[in-house]
Amino acid sequence: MNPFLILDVTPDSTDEQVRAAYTRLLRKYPPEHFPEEFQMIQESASKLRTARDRWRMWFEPDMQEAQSPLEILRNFQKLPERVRPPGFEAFKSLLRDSCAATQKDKK
Amino acid sequence: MHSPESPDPLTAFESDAPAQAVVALLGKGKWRQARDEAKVLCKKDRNKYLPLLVAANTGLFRDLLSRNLSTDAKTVLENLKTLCPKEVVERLEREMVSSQVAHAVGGAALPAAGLNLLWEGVKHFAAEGASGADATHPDWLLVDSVVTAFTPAPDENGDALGSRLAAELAMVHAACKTVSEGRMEETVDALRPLPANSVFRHWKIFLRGVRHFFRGAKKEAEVCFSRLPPGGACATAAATILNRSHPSQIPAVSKTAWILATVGEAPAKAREILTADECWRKGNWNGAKDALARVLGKDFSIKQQGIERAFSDDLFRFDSEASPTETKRLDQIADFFCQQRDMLRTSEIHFSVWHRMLLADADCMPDASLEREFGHLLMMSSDFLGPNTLRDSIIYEHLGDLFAANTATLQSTFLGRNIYKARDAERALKAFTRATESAPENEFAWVKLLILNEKLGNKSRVNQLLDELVVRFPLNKDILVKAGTLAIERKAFGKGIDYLEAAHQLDPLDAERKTQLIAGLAKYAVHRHKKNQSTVSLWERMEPLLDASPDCWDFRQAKWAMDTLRLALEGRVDSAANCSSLFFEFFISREVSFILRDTWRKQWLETPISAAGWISLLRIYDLADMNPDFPNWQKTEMEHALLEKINAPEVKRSMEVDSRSLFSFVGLLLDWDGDQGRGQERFIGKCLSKLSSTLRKLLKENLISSEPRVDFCLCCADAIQRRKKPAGILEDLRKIDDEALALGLDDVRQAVTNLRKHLKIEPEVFIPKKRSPRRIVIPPRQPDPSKQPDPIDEGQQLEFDL
Repeated sequence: MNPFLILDVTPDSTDEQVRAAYTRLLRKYPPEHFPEEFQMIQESASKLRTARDRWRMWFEPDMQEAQSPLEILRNFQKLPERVRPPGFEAFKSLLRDSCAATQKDKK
Repeated sequence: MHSPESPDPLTAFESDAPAQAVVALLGKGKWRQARDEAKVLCKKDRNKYLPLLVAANTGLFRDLLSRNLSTDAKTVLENLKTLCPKEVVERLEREMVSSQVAHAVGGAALPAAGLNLLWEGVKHFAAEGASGADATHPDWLLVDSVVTAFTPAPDENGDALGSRLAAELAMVHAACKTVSEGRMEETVDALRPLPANSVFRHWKIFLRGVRHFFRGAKKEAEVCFSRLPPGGACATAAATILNRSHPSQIPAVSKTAWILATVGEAPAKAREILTADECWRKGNWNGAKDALARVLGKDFSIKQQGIERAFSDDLFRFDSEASPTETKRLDQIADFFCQQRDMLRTSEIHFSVWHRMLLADADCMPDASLEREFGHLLMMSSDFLGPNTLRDSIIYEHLGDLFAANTATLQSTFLGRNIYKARDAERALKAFTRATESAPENEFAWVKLLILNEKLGNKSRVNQLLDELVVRFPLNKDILVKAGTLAIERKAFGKGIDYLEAAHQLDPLDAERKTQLIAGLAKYAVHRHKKNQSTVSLWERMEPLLDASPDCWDFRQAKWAMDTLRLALEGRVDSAANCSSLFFEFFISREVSFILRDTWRKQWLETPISAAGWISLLRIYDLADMNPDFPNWQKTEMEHALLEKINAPEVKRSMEVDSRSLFSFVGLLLDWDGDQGRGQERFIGKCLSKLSSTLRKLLKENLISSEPRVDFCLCCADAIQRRKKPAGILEDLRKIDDEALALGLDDVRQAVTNLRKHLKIEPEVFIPKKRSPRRIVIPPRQPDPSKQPDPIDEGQQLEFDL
């Protein structure tokens, strides 16, 4: 996972900005309710603690396998605070498509 | 029963003084108080005051409905059923349903259009449920079809069931709208009146799950979704939301559109994403890049924070194993890179690609090219990301790492030689120096520069750097420890201890720093002892460090080791010999994981052991053996170290230097007064066994000559290993005694006497009356009285008692 995306910061963010992002996310994702997200946030914060850490991470990111665009999009959706209500039209489309798919499958 | 629809229900009470208070409360809309007062009046005259009670309850009922408190209103309605006629109750029920619908659709009236056939089916299921028939498995898909049509239910004049279903459908629609717009409180309010036996009840569960999902509580969402009927549209939608597999799959475009919508992106980008994905999977990097550029509406950006950043960061990777698809993709990326470079068109994507390619190819690039490319990288990062000295320093540091990489062959390592050969030491030094110049606050660059100089053997530069770094980074524990250990290695003990002390003070709970300080103090103590200087102050400094962690096994061990070392150095275990010090250094190095001397083994093997040395070593071993905390593996190491000293050259030299040494060693083994366990007994056996074989070898090669002391050592070994029969051993002892008497070796004679005392004699077949038997052994065959053996004769068993 890309720690910059998880904390939503950039390499030139200040220590205060990183700490603020970390604190905000921790408030939203306490470990007792969101253990996975909490771990993700903790690891990212430890990787981006200082300016050196951040530029180092930018320069030499963690080794990861190449991802396809769709995998990138799916992984992006899994990041904390990324999912938001999509609006009524998008929700209606999902429900209608789901109904149609279920009917098709039933037939 | 009373109808609330009387033309003027309250006029009849104008002249009734007790009822006036109730009428006044009704006029003020204080329904509950009016109801309570009316109840009191009804107890006096029910028929007369019943209209007041009905009016109060009806007012309360409508008030509750206006506040969307349907459950409470329903309770009041139940009460009214006991007070009003049936038709009045039904009308109030319809009123309630209409009110609920109005609330659900935000005040809009129900459309007049009729329901389609689906709606009739839903009504059928609902009617079955109401009549108590088995409606536990309704056609969920039919119900879901009605919901997902998102068409308001038709007006159901006079049909209570139809009105109720319309109201429930409107509730579900309202909840769908609010949940998708993030108005979660309103979703809860909208669904609260939905009855538990409603045909839409699974939508309540589904929408609760959706609410949890948007809140980030995926586990709770999963729990809700797991309760959904499997054959319905809700289950299919839930699988899409959770990105799980399901028998019914919605089209990939719809799925992608949904994901895009949930991350705040336009669902219309779904087709381009799928195109990019398809191109990517086929190895068509250019196609993927172009499609994504269309999705982003602009170029890739490494400065953005949203999905652009995700695509820019994660699409270009060069670390995977080169599968055919990957190779194809990488070739296209390389072509793109070269093309862009030739055309001098540098963009962010170009920079990003180049950056990753450079890191991936750095190991196999020629040194000069690598240096040049890193120079370009520095310039481009400054162009795209703005000037930043720390970033430049990190890039130089990485370049230094590449040039400082060890290129020594595996063979040299295999042979045990610690060879370091940098890829390009000069360039590495230059890069690290530039890193420290770019950002003097970059401690890591300084440390790397220091370590490289150390590896290259630039001792004066290392010392100079350390002195500089200790001042520059006084709060860096690693630098202080490094400075301390190096200072101690070059015997600048005072300075080294001060640095280690400072590192320990920075983090007193760090066990490793504490250990290093203890080891430093111990080494300093050994050094001072060799120079006949006082070590008292060092032990005093060490005491609180060792006592600070009484619960820690390692520190209990270290404390014991230090105490024993002190005893050894202060001569309280008869040790002043160099060999004992060496042995202790070896022991401490195991104890505190701190190698004091690389050449320990060589020095240990070369140092002769005097008689006193052997005694000292065995005392130290004995002390370790008596310590219950001392682990067996360390004991074994100590045994190995001691046994290693019993070799032919060493024994020969020891005898030349001090002919009593081995004899004393054997005597000490015999007189060992420790609480012997099986392990100790085995160790003594091993020592004597190795000693006897070594002596025999030396005698055979005429490297030493036979003498009473040597003969005694061999005799002891034979006795313990039971190589000879007791009679033979006693005969040998007699000869040794005679020789010693002739040569005036009183110590040998004394040892012979001692050994005889250790040898216990037991009769094998006959117990003489004049002696009390020590042990009775069952005879293997019938005794022959005519061959009664002398107690000290052949056939008797010897027992060696240490």
